[in-house]
Amino acid sequence: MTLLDAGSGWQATGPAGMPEPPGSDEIAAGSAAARPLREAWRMFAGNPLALVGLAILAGIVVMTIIGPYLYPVDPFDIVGAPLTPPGEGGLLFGSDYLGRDMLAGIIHGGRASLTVGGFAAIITMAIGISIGALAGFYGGWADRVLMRVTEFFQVLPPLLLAMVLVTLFSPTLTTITLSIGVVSWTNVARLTRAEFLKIRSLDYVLAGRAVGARDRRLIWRVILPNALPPLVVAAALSVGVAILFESGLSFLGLGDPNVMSWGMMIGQNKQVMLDAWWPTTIPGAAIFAAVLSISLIGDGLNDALNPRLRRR
Amino acid sequence: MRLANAILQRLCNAILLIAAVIVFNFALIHLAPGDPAQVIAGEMGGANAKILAEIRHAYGLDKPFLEQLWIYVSHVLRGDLGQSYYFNAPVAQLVAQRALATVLLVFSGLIAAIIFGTLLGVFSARRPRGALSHGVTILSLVGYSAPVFWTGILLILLFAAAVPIFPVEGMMDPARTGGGWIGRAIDIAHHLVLPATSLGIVYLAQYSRLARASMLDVLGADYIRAARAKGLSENVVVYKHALRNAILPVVTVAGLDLGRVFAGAVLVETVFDWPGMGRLAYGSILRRDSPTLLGILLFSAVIVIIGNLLTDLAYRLIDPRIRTSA
Amino acid sequence: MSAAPLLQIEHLNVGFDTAMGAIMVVRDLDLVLEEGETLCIVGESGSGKSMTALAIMGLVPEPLRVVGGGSIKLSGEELVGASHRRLRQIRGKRISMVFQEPMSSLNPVFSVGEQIAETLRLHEGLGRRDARAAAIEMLQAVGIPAPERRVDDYPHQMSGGMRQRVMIAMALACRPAILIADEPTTALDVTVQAQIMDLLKDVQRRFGTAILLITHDIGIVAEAADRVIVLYAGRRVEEGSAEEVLRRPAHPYTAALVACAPQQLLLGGERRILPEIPGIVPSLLRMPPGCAFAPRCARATAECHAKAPPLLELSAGRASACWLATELGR
Repeated sequence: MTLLDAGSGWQATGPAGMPEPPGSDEIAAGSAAARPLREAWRMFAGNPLALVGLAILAGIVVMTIIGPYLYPVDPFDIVGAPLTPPGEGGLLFGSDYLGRDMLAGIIHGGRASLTVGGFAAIITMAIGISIGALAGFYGGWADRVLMRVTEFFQVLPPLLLAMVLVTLFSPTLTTITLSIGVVSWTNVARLTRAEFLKIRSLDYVLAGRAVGARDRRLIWRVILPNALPPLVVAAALSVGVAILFESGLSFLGLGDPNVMSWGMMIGQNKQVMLDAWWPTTIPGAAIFAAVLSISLIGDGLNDALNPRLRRR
Repeated sequence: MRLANAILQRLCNAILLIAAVIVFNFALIHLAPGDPAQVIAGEMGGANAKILAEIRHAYGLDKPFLEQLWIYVSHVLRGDLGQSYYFNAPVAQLVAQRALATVLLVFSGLIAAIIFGTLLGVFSARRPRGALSHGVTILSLVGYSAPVFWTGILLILLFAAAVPIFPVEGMMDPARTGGGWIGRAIDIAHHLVLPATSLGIVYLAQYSRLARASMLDVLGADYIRAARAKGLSENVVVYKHALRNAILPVVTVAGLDLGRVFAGAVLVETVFDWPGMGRLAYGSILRRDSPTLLGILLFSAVIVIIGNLLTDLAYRLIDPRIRTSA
Repeated sequence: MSAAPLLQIEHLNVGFDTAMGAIMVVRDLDLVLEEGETLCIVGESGSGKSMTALAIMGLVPEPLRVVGGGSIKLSGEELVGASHRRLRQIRGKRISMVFQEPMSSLNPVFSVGEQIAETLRLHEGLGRRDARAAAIEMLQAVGIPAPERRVDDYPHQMSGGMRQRVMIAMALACRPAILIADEPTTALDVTVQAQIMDLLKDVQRRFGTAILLITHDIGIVAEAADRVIVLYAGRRVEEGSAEEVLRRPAHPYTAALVACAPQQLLLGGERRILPEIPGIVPSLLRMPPGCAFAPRCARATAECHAKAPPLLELSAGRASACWLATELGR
């Protein structure tokens, strides 16, 4: 148990379970990890900006889930005169250059943005963590090769590459999600690698090696849990980045043409932006609100999980 | 000597990277579904099987993949990026016509973000509880969360209708004649303000926050106290002793961001009708004009690599610990 | 000779206000430093010794400040409340300081030569080339081999001991009247510690600098000090010539410090297991009503716990703040 003293509270899953037979550690890990988590939640809940972010995001999520039932208008249907100003003709957000209902677009567009954002972030994290973990854990030639690959993806402008990928494999929500994931993992990989390099030489990892723990176990059950705090923050932020990516692609007209999205609304109404302000600014504000809420949550998580790195 | 060695090593690495970029992009575009011959035929107005076969033969599309790759690579090595399917002009020429506009946009946006972001960070770090400091925190959140094309549209709405002091479209005033190159440069700079602002504001937001954190760190360092103990004035302490240390993380991050800035330029060019490579890339993607697309991807990778070399060099100039121990 | 001593501190108080009341880090400190002498301020961490040094430099960090009507006079000139401009002219020129951490007290991005030359250019108005030549001379003076080569080295290319030599060169470049050395050897290896102490003694002899040496190490007091002031929880508890204070401590705290020191340093005897002073320095927020040392003092009486003893003068220049002082100091 003296091994526990080697690091912060987060290493609980690792050393506590290590010398014991597999199976018993899950319980120990659960109870030991609960305390820092509760502490982190307390700090997060004491941060007003983070709570505002959480409230905005929750509002957007609820809107996209139940909105279509409360307001059953097809965002592609023409419901009135083109460019009806907000509030007129029973249209809360007005209509776009074709006369389609902007409110319906905002509600349905949120679905595309949040779904793509969430799943793309999962792919980003999965690729980034795998590559960073392998590079940081094994070092040597594996590190060199994997970091070359990372450098390679850093050199290709990500949005340009995503544009090419989406077009080549025809734009659907799935290909868009995959493309965004494939082009945006490099920073996560670098972060994971740096964390692994730092942690792998700490006492409790060396102790794990000394008792003959297998590499897979060291990577996933010993080092990764300790590298989690910065990665959780990175995961939150990568949702925001993915939403920005998706909106950029659909702004350019490279989104799924059959699914309404916020970026698509801005892109299609771009040519009338000087005639009517609402068809471009309202969807933009929606993207902004979604990404801002996630940034606020990310900041709050950062303060709560990495107290020593807290920004001043 | 060590510096020369490090640069040489970097150059070798860069050449390897460029080779990888060429092979990867070529493979990606050629192994993807779709028949380029159909695209070319479409441009020429319809096709039957015979014409398609002729097109394949003329463009070398009937050869095995590896042979096509070899032909492409050997052409690139001679500076020949191929012919555009759409414009029927050399890709190198097309890219060259647009490259300057994009490079101008990207670097003016990024460099302005570095300079103003660092200054904001420094000012706010000197008064960590002051109004400016809170302003930087808000700016960093807002600037980071606003999509660049939306920022661009808001700027256009503001400057086209409310305060018409900056042009909101294109790179030069087409009605303008004469005035010499100075007049033209001023005209371009005038047109550049809004696009570069909307592109740079994201990075301004990030760098001001980064510079503020790193400046706060540095101002607490022992060597800053020691510098004050020498009797140096506060300005010398901050701008000579602290700033040079505090700017290092900004330089590192800016180098890593370069690829992203380049990509963001596509969106900004679309909003402001800026005649750059992003517009060309977008058109080429829609037209399946793969030689042009390959050329653009290659060129942007090369620019990013050069930018990385420059930031690396800048880092070495600023930090002797890297310079003398590499 | 004018009557004004080189440095005279009277009633110095350093502290800051909190919601729980004022916290005083240094209380009512008097001190006189004469030309060419070495005065040691000794005490544990938190005793206020470093803050005294920073107060003299005018560099007390926020939110701390000099409070009350205290005075710090340099050759008769008042420094408390002096303009920033005047203080900057004095720092590095008349009073210099060497810090505890040589590893982090030099700016990593400038060569050591530039950092020494900077002081000379600022205070002596030397040109670039003259300043560089003077910097090389200073490196030579502090015993750095091949100074004309090392002058262009960066701090990371030097060892801790070398860096402390550079710090000393930097501090002495303008031949200041006073050198404040705040734990100058604490961060160094034992062998290097001795070299740095020898260097300080050597430069003092050559340049006639008065040294205010701040340390927690009674061994250093024995080795280098002419006079010594012992601080405990921000207050002077004992003062006198180094020889007398070490031989016959007139305060139980000093006695305990002396007992804790490695004996071979003091008397050349055998190394033995050192006793420790039990307990810890009281929190500045919760100072006991009586003597601050009473809770840790083996000889404390009811009077000690109830009432803080004043600083009693035992003989000329010899004082102790203990109810038992006369009894102890005999």
